[in-house]
Amino acid sequence: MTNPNTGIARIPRARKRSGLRKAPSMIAGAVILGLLVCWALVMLLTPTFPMNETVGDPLLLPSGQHPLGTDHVGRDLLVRMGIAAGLSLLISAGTAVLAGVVGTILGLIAGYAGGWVDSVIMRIVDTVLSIPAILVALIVGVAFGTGPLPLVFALGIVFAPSFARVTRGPVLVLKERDFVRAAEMNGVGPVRIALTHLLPNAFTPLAINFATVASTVVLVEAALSYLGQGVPAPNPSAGRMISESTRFMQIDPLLVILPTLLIVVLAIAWNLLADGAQEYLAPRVDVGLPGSRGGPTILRKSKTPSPAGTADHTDSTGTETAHKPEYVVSTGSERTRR
Amino acid sequence: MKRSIRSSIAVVSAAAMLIGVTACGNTSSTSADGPPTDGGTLKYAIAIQPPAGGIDPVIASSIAGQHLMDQAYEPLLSKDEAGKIQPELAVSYSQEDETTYRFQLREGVKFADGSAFDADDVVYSFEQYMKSTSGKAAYLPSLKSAKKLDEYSVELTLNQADSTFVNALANRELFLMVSSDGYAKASKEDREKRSYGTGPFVLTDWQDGVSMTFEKNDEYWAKDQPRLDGIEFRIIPDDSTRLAAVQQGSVDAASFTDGVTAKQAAFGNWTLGKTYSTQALPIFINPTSGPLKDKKVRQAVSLALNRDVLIKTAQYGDGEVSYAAPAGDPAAPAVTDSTPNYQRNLDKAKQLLQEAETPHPTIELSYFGDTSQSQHPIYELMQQQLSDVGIKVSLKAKSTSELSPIFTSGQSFDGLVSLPWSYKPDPTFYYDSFLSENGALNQWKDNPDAAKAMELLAEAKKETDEDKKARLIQDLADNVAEEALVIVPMAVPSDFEVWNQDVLKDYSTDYSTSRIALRTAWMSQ
Repeated sequence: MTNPNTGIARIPRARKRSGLRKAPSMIAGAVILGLLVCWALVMLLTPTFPMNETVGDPLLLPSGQHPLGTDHVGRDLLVRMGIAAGLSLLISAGTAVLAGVVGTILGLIAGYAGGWVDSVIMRIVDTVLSIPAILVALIVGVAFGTGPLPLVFALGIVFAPSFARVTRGPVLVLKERDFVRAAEMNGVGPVRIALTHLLPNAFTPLAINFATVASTVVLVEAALSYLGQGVPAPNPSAGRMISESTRFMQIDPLLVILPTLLIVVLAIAWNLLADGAQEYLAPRVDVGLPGSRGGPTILRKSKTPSPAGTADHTDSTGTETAHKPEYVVSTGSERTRR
Repeated sequence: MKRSIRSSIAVVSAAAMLIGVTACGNTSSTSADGPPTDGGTLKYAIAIQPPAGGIDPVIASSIAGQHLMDQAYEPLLSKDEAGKIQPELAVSYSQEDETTYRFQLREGVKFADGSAFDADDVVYSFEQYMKSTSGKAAYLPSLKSAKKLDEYSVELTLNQADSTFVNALANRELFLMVSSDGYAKASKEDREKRSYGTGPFVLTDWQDGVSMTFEKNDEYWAKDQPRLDGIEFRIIPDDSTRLAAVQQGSVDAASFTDGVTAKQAAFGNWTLGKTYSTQALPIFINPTSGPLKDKKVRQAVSLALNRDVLIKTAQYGDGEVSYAAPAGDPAAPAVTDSTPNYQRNLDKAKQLLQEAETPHPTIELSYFGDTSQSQHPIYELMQQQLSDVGIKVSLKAKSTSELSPIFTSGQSFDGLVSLPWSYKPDPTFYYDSFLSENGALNQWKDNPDAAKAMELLAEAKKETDEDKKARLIQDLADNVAEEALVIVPMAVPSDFEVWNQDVLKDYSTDYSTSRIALRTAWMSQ
């Protein structure tokens, strides 16, 4: 159906569940991320202690003055963990945005153009996908130096192919649809078609992939920082804090546990966001099923028994069996008639 | 006032006490189980195996291989803890004139293959060292010839008087004697993987990356030595894994380079030996470009450092203020309260920067990022301290492969570069590397700031009177500090050994970190 206001054709969606109440995962993920962002901003803008300066004795346990204790050179852990969380969020979100932009463009071109263009782009995508992310990041680090920006650039290259694939799939299907053909016949240019007709309909998988990629980047960045190739010293990073603190593990386990928990929470938050986005945005319709007429196919419990003798189950021999209906299959078409 | 090495770690020790760790500074374990008994194979955990060169003493020069070579090979002389020369394969020596030395060899010594050790082997060994590309010949720059006088006496002749000569010979890291028979006939690979020395043990098996096994040398010249049947050095690169091996009892002894981990290993029956070896952390300067061209900026860098805080916070008290010659080396000059530019003075540092017209210089500091992780906090704290006077330090953690060309082939570098080093045979060798004409780290050629230091170095190398030489070395160290030709934040202990004193008896650490006490130690049965 076509939106009468914009003229943009859209795949009929399932009726959205009322509000975000039905997407608890997304809410949970967003809340966790929001809290982490707030923590980072507070530590950045109004820190109790400087981020990279010795402010007390090393290896202090949590206390009123230092709620999470101090690290091996006497820096406050509450401040450093907050900044580390913020940096990780920035890197993961930044990488997902960069990868999303680059990958989506590639996917749109590949899916819409087809032919040899599609083949070339997808072979490049396959090649990049086969290279381990950490290896690419290490090579870029050697070439361009370490730090958040080179890291975002490197990981953006690594994860762009996943967006390309996610975009290309729906585009391959959508470009054969009538509304796209109609737009072409009306002289709409390919760029406008891609941006206004194809891209909005591929938004859902892209949004889900965004959060999934961000979650993966959290782990990759932590691994690179552990190896000394991520966020450089003395700026805080969960991975490097683990690396620096391993030798103190038996003396002050918190130095290893806290950054580990931070990585876990960050990854879980992004994953919850991805799961929630999937729950909230994914349409409950299989476009290919006959009789759906674009509406949902829903199984609901029947409140009234079917008339006696009415069989709704016939076994393989063609014998009608006694009816004991528990569910009635209704189609969207029936609903729209009400 | 001479400062002494602090041996306690306040916070770590307090935490260690909570879990019942006792960090002992014992120098030996005493036998409480009767007379020594022979037998047993010691399991000793080490961090890395020898890299290129294996345990061929002529070509290998890595610290990793040193104590392993010392189980199978011996020098002519050695030094004790006080720096006094001790006999080894040479029972005595005499200096005939300022360029001629004669050595009387120990009789009755045999190599592990049963062949006799004599003057031919000494002459052959020195010929190999002079031809070698390992760089060891640089420690005998004046050696002209080695000549056999009779079966057990050798004469070594120098080109010129050289006060470093005997010290170089007495260093267990340098000139170990090899067999003119077995070693001469062996292939390059065999020389690296097998041993051809007179030492108490023989390398019999080497599983790459796993273990190196030494067995008792039945031909060893010392009576009742060694008592152990053998030593299995287990290679466990990761500190935490090695610590776990100690705590699980799967090894009998272990070595660490990090004091924090080593002290955690000293638990229950495990003893932490006295640490003799220290490593200075000299930060070399490229004064040919950038703000460090100006002496005032360099002096400001040194004045901005609070070395006591660096030692206390970054190294938990395990360290000592030092010149380029590491504190702990008996021949190293002593830092005092009057050492130029060593007392933190922020006002003076800022004033110098104003006079230098670079009130906020930016300087790059490179250091080994893939090793010596325990030293990284030092550089981070230095960055903090220098920011107090407006000096911005950009830290660059680099790999060993990136930094090694700087000290092996004299590749240039930007700003500052930290290249830690351990003991050298003679105190002049510390200054050779960055002040002498051919020094790989010499960035001071034709620089008037280093002229006086170069003169003092040349004089010290010729001076054979020990007292006069010591004064020259002190003057040299003070001049280097005054002109800020190198920045030295501290010296740190570099080798820690722990062992289970219920298993390994009569063992102690030694000044040369050669584990030489393994030849007299025994295992409780």
